Amino acid sequence: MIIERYYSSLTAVIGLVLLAILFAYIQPMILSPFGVTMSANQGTTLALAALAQLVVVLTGGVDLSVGAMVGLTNAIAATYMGTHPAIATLVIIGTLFAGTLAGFVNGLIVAYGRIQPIIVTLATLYIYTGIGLVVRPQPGGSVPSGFANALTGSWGYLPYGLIFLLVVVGVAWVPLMRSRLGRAIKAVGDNRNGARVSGISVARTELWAYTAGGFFAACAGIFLTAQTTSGDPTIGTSYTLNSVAAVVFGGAVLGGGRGVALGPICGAYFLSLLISVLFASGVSPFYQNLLQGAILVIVLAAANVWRLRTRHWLNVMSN
Amino acid sequence: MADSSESGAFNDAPALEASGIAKHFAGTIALDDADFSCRRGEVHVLLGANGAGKSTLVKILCGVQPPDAGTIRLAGEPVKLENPIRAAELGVAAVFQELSLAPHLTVAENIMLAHEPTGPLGQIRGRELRRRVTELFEQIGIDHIKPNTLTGRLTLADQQLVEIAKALSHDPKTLIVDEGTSALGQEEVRRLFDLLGRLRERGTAIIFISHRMAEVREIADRLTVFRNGTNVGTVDAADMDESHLVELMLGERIEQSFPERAPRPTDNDILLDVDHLSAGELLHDISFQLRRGEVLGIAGLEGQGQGDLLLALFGMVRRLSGDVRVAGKPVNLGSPWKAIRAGFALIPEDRKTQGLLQPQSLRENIALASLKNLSRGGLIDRARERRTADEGMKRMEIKAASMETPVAALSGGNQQKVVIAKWLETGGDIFLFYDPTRGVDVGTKRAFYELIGELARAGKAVMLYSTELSELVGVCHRVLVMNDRRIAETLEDTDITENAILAASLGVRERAGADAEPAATRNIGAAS
Repeated sequence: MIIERYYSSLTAVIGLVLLAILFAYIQPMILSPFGVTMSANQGTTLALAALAQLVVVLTGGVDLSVGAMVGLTNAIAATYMGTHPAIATLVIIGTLFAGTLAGFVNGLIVAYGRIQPIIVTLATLYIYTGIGLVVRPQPGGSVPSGFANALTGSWGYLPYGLIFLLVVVGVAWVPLMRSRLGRAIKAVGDNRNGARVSGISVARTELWAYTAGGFFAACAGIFLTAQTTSGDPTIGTSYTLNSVAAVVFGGAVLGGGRGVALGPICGAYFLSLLISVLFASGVSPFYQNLLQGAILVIVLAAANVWRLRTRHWLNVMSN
Repeated sequence: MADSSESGAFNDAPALEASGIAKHFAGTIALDDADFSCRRGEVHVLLGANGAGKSTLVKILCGVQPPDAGTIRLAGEPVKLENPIRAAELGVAAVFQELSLAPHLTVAENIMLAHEPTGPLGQIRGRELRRRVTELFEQIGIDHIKPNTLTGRLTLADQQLVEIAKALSHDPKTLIVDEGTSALGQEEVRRLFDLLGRLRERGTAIIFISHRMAEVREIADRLTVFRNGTNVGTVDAADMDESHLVELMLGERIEQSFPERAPRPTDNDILLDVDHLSAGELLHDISFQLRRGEVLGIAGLEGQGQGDLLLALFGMVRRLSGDVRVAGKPVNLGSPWKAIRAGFALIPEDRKTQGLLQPQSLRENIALASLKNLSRGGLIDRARERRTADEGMKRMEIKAASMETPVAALSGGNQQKVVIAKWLETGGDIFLFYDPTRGVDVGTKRAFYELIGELARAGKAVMLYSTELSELVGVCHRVLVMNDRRIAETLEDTDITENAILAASLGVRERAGADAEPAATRNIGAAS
């Protein structure tokens, strides 16, 4: 492990800790198992969506369809899950597959259609939302309470949702990043031509990066289903740009090649907790967006100050 | 072919043989019926002006690009090199001129990129990977680079060493070194050559591309010259005649390698006065003066502060101390735009990233640094911009279809001219050349020297940082030799020889002859 790579996550980690302390100070009640679980659950969907965004951002792309994929998988899961545990399990697997397929389609178009990722995923954002609306024209559906509790409950202070996230990271993210594909994803984002002349297929790498993004978005959709116990294809909208914010706040660079999971995950929890803190401190909902944006800008600017304390302007420019 | 016994016939088969290779790019012919072969255990130097097809040939030989026609044989066997990994598996690896490294991967990760050792689940075996790299470093004698460093933190020279190690990690039977020494200092080149010598003894075929004739002279067993996409002659190094080679490369005769120097200024019109300039660990107590019409060289081994000195003058180094005066007035070098306003112009090392906006037109690039003068009320005056671009193109004799041609479409030499045209437009007085002829062919180099002379004759002052000794000797009026980030010695006029520069760079001063040297030639600038 190269410790240096984790420096970029520091802002998000410290920010999250400070914010949590502030929250506990304003609202001591959240220091109960219920309070902790509720606060955590509010951020877990975004944390998973941030992973979906991060894997694409690492290649130097961006995925505007993350939110649509979250909404689509949420709609599919809530519509077909039913009550029987065996069927529910099949539906969860099917949902994961559907999200992965959506990511695969993104990847195909980006890698082989040679169209800018931002345009491709803007188009598929509409397509996936549209498919979701066909599957489930109105919000609703039925979600077995056993399934919902299994993901949103807690064991003492430890929320199951956090365990779910750690399982996804441990079973999917870490092995991905330790594979040749993961290495290739970082290399492509870092030096596209260099990766090419080193023998990496840039197109294939992008294809699988977007596919993985679809898988993580589906994980987010499944958690969201458990959390809201209903399906709504348009519910994912906010996750797209918030996932980008979480990724950048978490120290990844939109140009690609740099970023570890820790930062964006903490960034996601920071962003969701920020809303709770603003709410708890009695800020009028009319000012919440304004404050949220302002805080984000200030925190990001503060995080970047150290970059300017460097020997050469050249280093600043290459950062 | 039946078991690879050293039977006479197959022993004679070249390690690598390309015949009838053709490659076209959107209407231009890069390679046309090109033949080339390299034997086992030889260093075969590939020469040619820019655009001669060398780089395309290299790309084809190492699987980066497929040829349109032709066959490649390795040890007599026809092969298809579909991609770089396939080529590496077949024993062909290349050190690329444009670094292929990912700056935010570690040295070890870069070296093993795309051929990492993996376990049963497809996971990369990190420890094994680092072990192999450590072993490789031991083998090739790299001991100062840690495998776990992020590659972007290394100096350009060290990155080039990593690039070389990366190629060697494939244990190639044929190694292609494309401008692999361009960022290296003398000492590192020495080490690379030792390494290549050892590989040659082991029977590796080495294809070596360089524009430094001194290196070529030293390492070549055979030389092949390319011109206009085809092989125009192969000679043994023993029969090498440099003027003949240059003639082959250019297809015309060039009498001397350096144009006549601009006359050395006789008056004492001091344009730039640098007094006790320091910058943290980067520069220590630099003092010198520069006159109008003077060409001042900056020499030294790699990483002795030469580049940082130029960057400091261009406002790109922070926390400077000391005084810098231009035409007697103190100037603030806090940022590049302040430096530009003071009359400095930088022709950067990496023109692709720092000097030019590649996809934009000639016109936009030439006007870029002087938009303030070219606009009225915040809007760019298009007519004036076009006039300016036109003048710049004429003045610098830039060859392009029109001023709307994207800079990316120009040759390297013409791109450099665009950079200079841009600065002439801002009224630049002090031209800082940052290793401008790195990776540039002989013809373009000459054009450069002429350009430097013209600037000097026009009353501009030139500082030339170069890694090529012959260039400093051929072009400069004075040479500052740097060592340990300070000025070690100043050489003038006839004292400027390759030997003297090298000796000063290495800090060899006690040797015979040093005493006889008049004290006045040393540290002229520093003494002022």
